[in-house]
Amino acid sequence: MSYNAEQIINSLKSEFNEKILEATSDDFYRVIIKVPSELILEIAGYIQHELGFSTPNMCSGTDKKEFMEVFWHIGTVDSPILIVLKSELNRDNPVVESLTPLWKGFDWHERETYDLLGINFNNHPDLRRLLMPDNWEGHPLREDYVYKKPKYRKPED
Amino acid sequence: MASDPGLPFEELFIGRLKLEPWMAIAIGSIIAGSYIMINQIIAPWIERKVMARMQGRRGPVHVGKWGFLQIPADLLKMIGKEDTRPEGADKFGFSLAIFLTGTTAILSFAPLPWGSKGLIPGNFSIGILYVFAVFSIFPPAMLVGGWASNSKYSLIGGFRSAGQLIAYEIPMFVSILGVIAVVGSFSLVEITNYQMNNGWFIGKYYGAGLIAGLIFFISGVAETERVPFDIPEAEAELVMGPRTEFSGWRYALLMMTEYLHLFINSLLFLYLFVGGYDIWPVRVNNSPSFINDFRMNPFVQFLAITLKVYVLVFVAAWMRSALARLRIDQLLSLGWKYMLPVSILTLVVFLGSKDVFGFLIFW
Amino acid sequence: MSEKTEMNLFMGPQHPSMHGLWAIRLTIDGETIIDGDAQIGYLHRGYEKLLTNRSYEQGIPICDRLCYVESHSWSTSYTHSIEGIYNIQIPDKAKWARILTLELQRIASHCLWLAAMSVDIGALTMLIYPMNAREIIINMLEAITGARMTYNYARIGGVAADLPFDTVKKLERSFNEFQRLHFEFLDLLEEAQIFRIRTQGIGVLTKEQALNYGTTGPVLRASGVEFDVRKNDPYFGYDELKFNIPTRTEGDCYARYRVRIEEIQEAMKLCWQALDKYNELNASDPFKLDKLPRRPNEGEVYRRIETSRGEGGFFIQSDGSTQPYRVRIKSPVFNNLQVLIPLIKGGKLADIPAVMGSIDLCVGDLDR
Repeated sequence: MSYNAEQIINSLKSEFNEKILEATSDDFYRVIIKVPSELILEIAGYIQHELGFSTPNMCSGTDKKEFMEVFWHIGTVDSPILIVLKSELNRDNPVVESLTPLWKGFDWHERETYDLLGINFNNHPDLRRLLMPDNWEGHPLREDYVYKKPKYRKPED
Repeated sequence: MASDPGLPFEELFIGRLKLEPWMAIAIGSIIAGSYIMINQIIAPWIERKVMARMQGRRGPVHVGKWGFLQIPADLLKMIGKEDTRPEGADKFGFSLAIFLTGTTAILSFAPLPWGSKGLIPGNFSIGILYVFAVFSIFPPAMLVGGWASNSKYSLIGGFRSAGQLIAYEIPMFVSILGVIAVVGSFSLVEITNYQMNNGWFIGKYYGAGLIAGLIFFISGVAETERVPFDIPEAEAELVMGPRTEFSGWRYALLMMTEYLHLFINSLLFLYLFVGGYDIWPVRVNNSPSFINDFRMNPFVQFLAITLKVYVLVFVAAWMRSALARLRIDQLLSLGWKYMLPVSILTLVVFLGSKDVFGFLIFW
Repeated sequence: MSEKTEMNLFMGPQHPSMHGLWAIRLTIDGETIIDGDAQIGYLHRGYEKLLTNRSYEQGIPICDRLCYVESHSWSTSYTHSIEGIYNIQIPDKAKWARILTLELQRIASHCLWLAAMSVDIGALTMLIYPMNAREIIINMLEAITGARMTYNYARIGGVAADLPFDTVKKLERSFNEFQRLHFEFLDLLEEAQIFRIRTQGIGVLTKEQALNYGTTGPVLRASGVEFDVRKNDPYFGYDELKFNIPTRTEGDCYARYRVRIEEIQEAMKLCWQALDKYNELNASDPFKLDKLPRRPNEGEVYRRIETSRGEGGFFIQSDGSTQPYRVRIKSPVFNNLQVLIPLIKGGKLADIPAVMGSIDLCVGDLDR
């Protein structure tokens, strides 16, 4: 059950027609699909169950100054193709559905994205900071992040 | 043939030097104690050297000739260190554990004979029982120490230590019951003399002696918490087990105790199965001959037992460098499921061969 | 009788077997593990931000420091992604030199893993022997790259230097020595029953779990999935070389151990093939592109390679300037370590080092 990039794009377009904002493929076997943030879970479910893309590869985001971009790379073990689900979020209040219920491997990736970029994932089982300390203020990979000397708690607090 | 050993160094001190018996006892104890202390410095050095050679290293080389003074140097360094006690630790229990392990380890040496003619600090008829009783205080003492150090790693290590004791004390004692029943005495001197007259137990009773000896040795390794049974101090999960929080001279004492235990375990194995201070594994006939004089010479006996102990120290170092560590449940199942039934079987063979059970088993 | 018998245990970053800086908060009941929570981030150095503050070339030596066990894989991976951004092809000679060094790096990394895992299980001698074997490989890498730990051998569009003229002789000598040592120490570990009972049937990772958690590398292959980036998404010249992907179906610690041991043999084969291909080329052929495009293209790229722990890669977004706009490092350990807590749940305390060792973590590229 391996598809090439064209088939994947056609299949997704026929299933979700105009809901998919943009679908392209690049030279590195990546199929990039831009979708509105509300439809992430639905399309991801289709990718998992119908197209058989079983392995979570990575998830992260970028602060694009005007908007916040979040993307998931979803791979498969029988072809080199990676499906990239992309979504643009409101920069002030970035909220998106979590894909952790579908792929447990996205757990830490989404936690890291929350930690470093401040993107909130709905229905994530355990959305805490991952790399930074729990009492850290701000999200370091945001473009407007200003480093402040952290206040350390005393151990007994 | 060998008579009652009597007082320590009877021949030399009381016979020739005309000393009072209590003085003879005191001098004998001092000699035995210093002998133990010297060996306690040599044994770790040998272990480190053997392990280093097996691992393609050179081991300690810098302090003294061939690094021989490395262990005293380590001890001095550790004694000079700050004596720390974790916050919230139970002061009494924390100290008690160290004193219990140290004193019991040294006291265990009292009934161990170093030769047939009175080279024994304290000769009493229940030698083995005494050694076992004193020796078995070590794991509970470790539990006390672990519990008192206010550290979870220490506590878990202490519990493992106690669990291991229960699982291994029983097969250990069952495996030597045969020997005790055959000799008819708890005295280590009696047992050794019996073996001098009748051959070593390790080669007797259709292999049952060998199996019982192996079970005793393995249980002893488990009880002294050495590889592959060093589960209470498994550094991969429990930092150092019950020893985690001990530092400075307390740690030095614990480390020295570890080697004392190795010694006691090896010595007991020798006395019970490999003929103790005997050097010749065949029966003695009473005709005066060179070999008889030679094996009855106290100096030769003393050298023989020392040499045998160091062979076992080498084996311990070998095991330590060759084997991995078992898991606690695997260790307990080995003790309860396999070693206990087999040791009971060897007991039956021992007694059957001795005609105690002759009416039941005919061979 | 419903007394609370559970206890919290913090296997903290100072713990001797934690392979670097990370921690688990465990809930245990006696010896049995009820739950755990992995806490990472103690070694978080902000690589993704660091790289965006430097030009592409300046990032390469930094990526060498990403993981102390296999620095060359990571710097090569970064240059591989940068070449995607510049849209350039590297010369043939550079391809084979990279494969040779990458496979040598894989052997060295697996040797270090073996040493660490054995000492976790309690086999002290096995700490020394694989390190001796690794020394041979490190010497070989030193002969090629000039460094022993952080090689800084990768360049955009090639490698830093040509292979030495006597590489064939040196490689033959090294591998003969390595094979001799290798079999010597494997006997010591595998023939002892204790190692097998400590690892067989422990930490069983099913195929579905392995896929769902996104594990890669030996962890995935030990669960019966034949996935290797070298075969599935060939880079450099791996599609021209012949090699097997060792897989096992058991999914336990022993399977993961076996897969890595067999991978060492495959890596040695690959080294020879790459060197043969290299020697077919002329001595005057370039090993590095003379000229790079003035500016990188705009856009984004994700290219992955098979590091010794699994799929590693760099996601780079470029805005056309000399510095990347956003870099995201795909670390294999980041995915592989997520299976640790489910695997040790319900197991014994002593299984933690065994499972953790078999996953082979490197906190450097876990925390980035």
